[in-house]
Amino acid sequence: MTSTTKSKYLLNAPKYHAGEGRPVLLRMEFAPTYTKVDFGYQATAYYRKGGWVKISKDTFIRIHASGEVLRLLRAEHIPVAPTQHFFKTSKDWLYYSLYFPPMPMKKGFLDLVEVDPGEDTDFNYMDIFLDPKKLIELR
Amino acid sequence: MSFNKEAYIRYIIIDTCLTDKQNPYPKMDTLIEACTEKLGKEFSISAIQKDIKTMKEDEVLGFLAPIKYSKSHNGYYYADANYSIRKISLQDSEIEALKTATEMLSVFSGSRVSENFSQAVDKIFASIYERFPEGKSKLKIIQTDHSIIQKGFEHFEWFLQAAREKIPVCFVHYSYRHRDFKSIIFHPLILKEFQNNWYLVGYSENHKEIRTFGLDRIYDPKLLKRKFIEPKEDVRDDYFRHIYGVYPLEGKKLQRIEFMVSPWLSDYMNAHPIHSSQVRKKEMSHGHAIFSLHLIPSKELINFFLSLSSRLVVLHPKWIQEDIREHHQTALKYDKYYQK
Repeated sequence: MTSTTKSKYLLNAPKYHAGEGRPVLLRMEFAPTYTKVDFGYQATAYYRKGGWVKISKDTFIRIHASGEVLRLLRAEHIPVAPTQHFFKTSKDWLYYSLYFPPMPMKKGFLDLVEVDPGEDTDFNYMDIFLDPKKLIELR
Repeated sequence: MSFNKEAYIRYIIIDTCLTDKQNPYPKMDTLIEACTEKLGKEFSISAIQKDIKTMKEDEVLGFLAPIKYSKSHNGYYYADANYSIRKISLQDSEIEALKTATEMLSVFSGSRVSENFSQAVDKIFASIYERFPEGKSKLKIIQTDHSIIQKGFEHFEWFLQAAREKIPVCFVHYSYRHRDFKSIIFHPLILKEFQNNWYLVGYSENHKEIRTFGLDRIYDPKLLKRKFIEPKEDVRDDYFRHIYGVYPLEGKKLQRIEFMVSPWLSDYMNAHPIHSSQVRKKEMSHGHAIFSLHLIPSKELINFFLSLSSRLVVLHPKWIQEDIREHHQTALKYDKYYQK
């Protein structure tokens, strides 16, 4: 199965590795014209008034098997750095999405990397497991 | 005036046959066939003859249709060629009923339902006001509890379609309580309104049971091409019927709950039962009364008890008594802390 088919597919709650307190990678959408990744972030009391978030324009998806790199096309509901989204309180939350070029839906691992090599605060997600058997076709 | 809806449809079918200029003088067979075809069941000659008699003679129905039988054409016709039951004007009582119904519809327009429904209601208003312009200037005489637009309400119609057509969905949910996000695979069953908020109730694949989600906490829903899971009827029934509110407390089964209320609240509870299972078990001479409920305890039920705790005491079960006591103790702590 590849993203060249006309259908869109959803990978719900994939398994991955990420630092503690990072936004949750909720699901991935595979379409013929894009790959969309949805995240949810809960601000923390660690920062005064919940701190802030932003996403680097250099964020990319790396496919382990082929080494192919897919660069960020656009971000939704989260500003691209240097612009920041400031929370008002430590209980605020944010749902946001990142768009990348379409990708093959082959079994294997992916990384979604904001900064390589990254620090604890970077939004890096390693070893996201893409299992074609878990894909659900969208209407 | 009330009459059988199917009979009314038959009158319309007969009227359509009688006013069909292409096929004048319909025979009894033609009328039977038309009714059978439209309503999907057989009708006898006597049933249709009775309909014709009713259309001709029933004064309450008010058609007084000039239906005649032509021997030369071997079929029925209207003696007045311009007649049709559809041209009959409404009776005064029906006009009043229509105006009231329109007023009621207005209650359900605006923020309470979808944009399409509101537009449809607006069209009905426009038609009614065109016909009865005096209604427009009248002060609104029906007022209901009306909330401002609920966050997430833009998905109302979308979920309505999914529930109606039994289409599974995937949405992102943010929990106010757990303060976390989850992507949920869901099989929507109903949309439920409680205290001016809308909730989606259905089977959650994540939780493997029926769950309720507030529309205000739902993000980015998507329709799935996947087999729809329909919970067993008794499970659905328990969840839908035996609950006050929307969020049943986890692990709690259908049970008896008893509480005692003050004389003032007793009258209120009598006038406004909170659930169909509510029974007044005992009334004391000084006016206090004991009520019982048979339902699955919910968050909203506990909140209801808490909101009336100066006039209400839960007698059974013990765990609700303790839960309410804990809430009171926490409230006292909060009060002490913030009054410092």
